[in-house]
Amino acid sequence: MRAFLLNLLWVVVTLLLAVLAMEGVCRLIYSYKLDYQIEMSRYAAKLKRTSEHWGIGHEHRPSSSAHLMGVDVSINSHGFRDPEYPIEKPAGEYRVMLLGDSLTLGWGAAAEDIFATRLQEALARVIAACGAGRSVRVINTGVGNYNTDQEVSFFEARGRAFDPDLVILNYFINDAEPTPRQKLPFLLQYTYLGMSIWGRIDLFRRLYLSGEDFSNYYPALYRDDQEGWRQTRDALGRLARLADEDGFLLFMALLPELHAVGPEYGFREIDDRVSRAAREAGIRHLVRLAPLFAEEQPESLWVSMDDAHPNAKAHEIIARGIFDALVREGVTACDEAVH
Amino acid sequence: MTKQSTDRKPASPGKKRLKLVLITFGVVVGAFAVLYLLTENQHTAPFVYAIF
Repeated sequence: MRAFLLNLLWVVVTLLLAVLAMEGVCRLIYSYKLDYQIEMSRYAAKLKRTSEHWGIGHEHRPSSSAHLMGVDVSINSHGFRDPEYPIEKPAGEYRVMLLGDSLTLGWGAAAEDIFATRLQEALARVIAACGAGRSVRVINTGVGNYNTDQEVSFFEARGRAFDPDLVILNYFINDAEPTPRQKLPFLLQYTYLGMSIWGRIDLFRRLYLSGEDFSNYYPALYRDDQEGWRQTRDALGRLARLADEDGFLLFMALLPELHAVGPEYGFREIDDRVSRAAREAGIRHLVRLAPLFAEEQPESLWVSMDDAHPNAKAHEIIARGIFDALVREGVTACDEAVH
Repeated sequence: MTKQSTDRKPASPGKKRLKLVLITFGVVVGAFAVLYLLTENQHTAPFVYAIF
């Protein structure tokens, strides 16, 4: 019995030493190599918290910052990746509110490169020409992991208070997923090994046990019996009704899945389906951005080889596409731009 | 002629423990290494987050 207990003690001590050694190796590897799973886990641990609004699910910690996926991410006191500004709209300011997820947040791209910033600059140039005392403010409310239901819930609970003149709902193909409720376990938040194993077991299960990849995962979200897709359509209707009630202009931008861009966009049928749902919900202004990427090589648009979020080049194309759509719809005309 | 003995000496407790330590360490590190290699550079994975 004594020998057995002694052996058990040796096993436990060895396990602890192995874990410590692997934690050290992970920290060494990930100090040189950016890892999507690790960086997303760090994002959750450092910048997110549970929201007091059930529908929102989670939100950014106000006034927080971190270096994630190779770039600095600074969150203002409202919880947005923006500079500071008051909730009350100053006289003469045209407010554009972007609703979206990690693509709108600008995951993996520097603040000056993301489409929110580029849109701010482009609109500012146009509105400056309208005369003195006129200005524009693009508010980027993008939060990683949000779906459309969460974005609209956020807008209902908090976004309306900013009194936007124009709201752009940035839709990505995974926005029909159910709202994530599973928080990173507390202990895992502080170990690279824990974060790595957590993310890689999930990835292993999807790739090898469920046979899931981007080409079959996304279409499955849009089956009629999927709860997430039903909630998405419901959220589109809620947002369209708010646009009528509050009197703001509502645009919806369909961001492309960057594995599938090229001469023939791989998810065109899903874009068709989302467009139909948006129109049925009452959203009249819709811009599909995938055609703008027809000449591009997918990998040239990614943040890294294992992270297909848009890089600076892709953000530039997205900004141009949205801006051109706003011009076509007359939003940038001086009499429209300032009420 | 003397008879050559074929009996093996039983391993000492120290050697047994060393073997136990090495096997435990190897299994843990090996399992992680396999998981790491099988899930490395998987750029075909969709954006799915099991956590927030």
